[in-house]
Amino acid sequence: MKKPSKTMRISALTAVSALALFGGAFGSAAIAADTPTPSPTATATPTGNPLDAAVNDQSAAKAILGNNQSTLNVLTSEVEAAEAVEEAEAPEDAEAVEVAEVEEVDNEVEAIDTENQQESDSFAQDVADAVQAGDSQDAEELSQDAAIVTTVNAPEAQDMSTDNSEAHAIIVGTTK
Amino acid sequence: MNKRHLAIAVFAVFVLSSSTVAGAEAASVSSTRVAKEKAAISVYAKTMAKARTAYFARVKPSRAAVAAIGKPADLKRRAAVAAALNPFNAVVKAAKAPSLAARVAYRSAAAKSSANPADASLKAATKASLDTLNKAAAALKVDPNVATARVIFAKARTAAMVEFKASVASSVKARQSIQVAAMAKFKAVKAKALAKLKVAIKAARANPAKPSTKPTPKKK
Repeated sequence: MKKPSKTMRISALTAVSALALFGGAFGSAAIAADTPTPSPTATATPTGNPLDAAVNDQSAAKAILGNNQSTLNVLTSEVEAAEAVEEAEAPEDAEAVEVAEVEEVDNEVEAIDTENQQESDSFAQDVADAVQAGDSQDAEELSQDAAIVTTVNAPEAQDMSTDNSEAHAIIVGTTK
Repeated sequence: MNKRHLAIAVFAVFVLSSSTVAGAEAASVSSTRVAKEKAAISVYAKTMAKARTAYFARVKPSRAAVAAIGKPADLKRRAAVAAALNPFNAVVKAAKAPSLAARVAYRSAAAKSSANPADASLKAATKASLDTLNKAAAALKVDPNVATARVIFAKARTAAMVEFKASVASSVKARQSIQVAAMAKFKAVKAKALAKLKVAIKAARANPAKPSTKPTPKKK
């Protein structure tokens, strides 16, 4: 066998060494790529298990997403699964959302509130004018009068509104 | 090539192949584990989605029954409250009238006084109109007509609510018991599915290379 030249020997050894280094690097990268790195958020869960966190908590699942693309792909699926799990775990909430119809506006209550607001605004203007004129005593008295005049039927309006909400809750089944 | 060169080449090839094999094996084991975990989570999610659908199927008819009775009953209640509100509003409007009129008078007097700040009589008129407003507001606060109307309205409102509740009570009670039973079933399925999920995840992590023992939801 003909003895190879020094250059050829060096080239062959360099190539083999480079391949060896590549193999080692590939192995390490492959391991690192599929090993999820738990974040402080994920490890702070009671179980300390990042996957449990992903199952129980969507935000925790998102928090354990690493920079590695492979990990990202895997955990994105976990986040999707966690979302599905969360949806399945809350039938009562989902039910409320599903059946909750918008509560009907009570025109009577609205009329009372609107009238009181208009009167309140008028008094507020008078108070502002009195303040500007430097009559602080007048402003204070006007404020007191406003509080009396504009709240005569406010408790009734509030009671009616409360009844309406309660009746609505009974109909849609959100009362306990 | 002498023996030394050959030994170096053989060693380099050995390092290359062992590193590559180890890396590939690790990647394979890791992806198997992830696949198993994903499969377990998917099974759990599907089981829970089914449980949720079953829950709604159980409770929907009773909810519809409550709505069918409750909506007309609520309209009746609102009509009764509105009817009682009319006389109450009339009393309040009459009671507030002197105060509102006094406020208008005050505003007019204040505007005149502001236009002629040196005129003491205008200033005195403004003060007098404010006193009138104060007295009217104080009287409104303790107006006996308003107090009586308030009591009458409160009784009518409460009676309407009581009637509404009585008319829907039986169907609401039926719905609640159906919901409680449906929820109990849902929670039982959830607990079972969660336990299976945890076992599957633990198994996948303990020995990912072994064949999958994928959990399957029991048919209800």
